[in-house]
Amino acid sequence: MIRFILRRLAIAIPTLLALIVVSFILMKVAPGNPFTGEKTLPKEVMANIMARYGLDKPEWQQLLDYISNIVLHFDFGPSFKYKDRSVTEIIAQGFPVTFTYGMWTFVVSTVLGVFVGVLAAVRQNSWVDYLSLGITIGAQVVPVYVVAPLLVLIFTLWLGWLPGGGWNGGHWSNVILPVVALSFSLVASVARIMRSSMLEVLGSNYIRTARAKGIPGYKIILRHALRPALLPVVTYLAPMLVYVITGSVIIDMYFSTGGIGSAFVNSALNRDYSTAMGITILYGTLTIAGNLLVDLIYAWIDPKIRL
Amino acid sequence: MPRIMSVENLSVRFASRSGQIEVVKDLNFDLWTGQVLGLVGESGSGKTQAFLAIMGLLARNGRAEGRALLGDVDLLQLKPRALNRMRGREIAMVFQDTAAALNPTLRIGIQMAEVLALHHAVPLPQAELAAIDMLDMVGISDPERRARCYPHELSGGMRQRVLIGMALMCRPKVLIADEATASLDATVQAQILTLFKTVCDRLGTALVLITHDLSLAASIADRMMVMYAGQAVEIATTDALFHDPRHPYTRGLLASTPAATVTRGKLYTIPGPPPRLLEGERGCRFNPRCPHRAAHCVELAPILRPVALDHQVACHFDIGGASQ
Ligand SMILES: Nc1ncnc2c1ncn2[C@@H]1O[C@H](COP(=O)(O)OP(=O)(O)OP(=O)(O)O)[C@@H](O)[C@H]1O
Ligand SMILES: [Mg+2]
Repeated sequence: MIRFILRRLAIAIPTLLALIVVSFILMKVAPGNPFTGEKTLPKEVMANIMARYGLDKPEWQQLLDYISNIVLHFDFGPSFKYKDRSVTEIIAQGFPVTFTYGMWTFVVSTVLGVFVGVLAAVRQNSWVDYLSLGITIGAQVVPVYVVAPLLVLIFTLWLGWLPGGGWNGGHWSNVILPVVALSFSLVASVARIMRSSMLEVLGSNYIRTARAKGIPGYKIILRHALRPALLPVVTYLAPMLVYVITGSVIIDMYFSTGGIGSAFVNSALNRDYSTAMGITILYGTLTIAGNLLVDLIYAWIDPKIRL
Repeated sequence: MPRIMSVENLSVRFASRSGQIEVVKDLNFDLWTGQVLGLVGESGSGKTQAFLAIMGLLARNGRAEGRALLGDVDLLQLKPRALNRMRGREIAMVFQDTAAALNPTLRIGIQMAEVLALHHAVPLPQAELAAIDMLDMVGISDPERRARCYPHELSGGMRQRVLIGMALMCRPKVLIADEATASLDATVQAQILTLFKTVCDRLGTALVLITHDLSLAASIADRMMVMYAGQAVEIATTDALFHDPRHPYTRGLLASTPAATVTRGKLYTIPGPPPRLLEGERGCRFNPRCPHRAAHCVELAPILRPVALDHQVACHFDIGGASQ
């Protein structure tokens, strides 16, 4: 187990380095620099600025400085756009927001999705099953940018129950709509995955063995069927993470939650290279950590997998 | 000797695209305390489905009719909760297809202990000790360690023995062993059969031994039932069945087992097409393959009738005695 984690970290480090190098190169080949704007700056001023950001050094030197600053000081350098802020500050400000509603999204979609899926499987071909099947097929294909305005229309404009945007330090009323919008299609996907894997498990020989032992139905579900049936859902957690990361961009734009997603988009629009790279590396790290976590959960569920 | 279980007019039907198929038809038999009933019959004759029906474990498209009286409760009429109190405790079954018959995510000690904890309100740790004893009884060495194993860490034969042990955990009154020893090597098989015999003698368990192995049945069964196309065609004491078989199918079956044919040098096979199980067909289900077929065999289905003490046959003819 410890060895497994160490081995995965050993793979993660070169992966991250490669990610840094590739995004660094992409930034460099992109036309223009952060300071090309409407008004052209005087030559000396430009040279000054370039020196301040280290852009006058040879490129390999820039790369090495960049990497060593990240590794040694957790410092992604200054923002190219906001002169008085470092990338680390921008991330530190946006990340907790995204992390909060992202985590809740994970909790809500897995718990609710698993619950609905199990219910539909246990009541196969009943109205519960058909209803949830109908709703989930629909919900699965509705994108975030459609759900979000609808939610605001209903809960903010019509009912007036919840604020239509802002973060307000993570007050629950501000968290609900982003989480619901982001979870909407995820719940549906998880429910459908769970339903079919639960049906498969319930038809398996070891469930018949459990029934032959006289174990009551709910105990069969909880004790014998749930854990093996969860495996496909755990596999789905990795794509789910990607969905939450990309979805957070839309959430931040629509609800003005000020998460990392809006910082990412702004950095791209403003040619704020250092911020864009910092966030890309953060996303990469998250994805790698998420996959590691998925593997750990997988091994915990399925004893056949040895770490 | 008291009767433990009596099955009356048990029929099992499956809904299929070609209509209802009746894979078990009007089965009648009794199980007696401490006795072994050997059940034989060719593949597809309904042996497994008959007992799955009794256990309430038929596939979704299956329906059972008739009565299966365990003591004076009819298992087929029980509500799920009442049925669950019987299954695993009073009546247990070791299944034929053992692939994935154990939960891959639970340690086998827990899986075995769970039955005992459930039915006898024993705390789980204590039940696990009983499970370790049972592992020892079914001939698994180093039982303490094996109890902590997951199913995939055991060999196929060991898993089979775990399943047998699991069925015996609550000392059931009726134990159904469906090809339970088929995958085991001869020495282990002998050991399990001895265990079965001991359990029957000591606890009065009635054992149903479903098998394709006639010599195995002969060695342990007190009585034999032969099934053909979902029906019991002959029920007799083991002695009578092997020495004085009365039904043409039983005779064919005995003749087609290698042990009985070594002297003749070739294997006898029963000629003719496999049986059709569609509902509403008239006549004896064996008639297309029967060497003794007469006109009324096609018209009229024979019922199981006594031909001697403790010997019942479903055939219009009495072909006993010297006619073999
Ligand atoms: N779910 C089902 N739907 C339709 N027919 C079924 C179903 N399950 C079993 N059958 C049929 O029931 C018949 C009896 O099957 P059963 O399993 O009882 O045979 P068996 O005597 O145990 O054979 P074997 O010796 O091979 O185990 C077979 O013809 C089989 O095709
Ligand atoms: Mg069978």
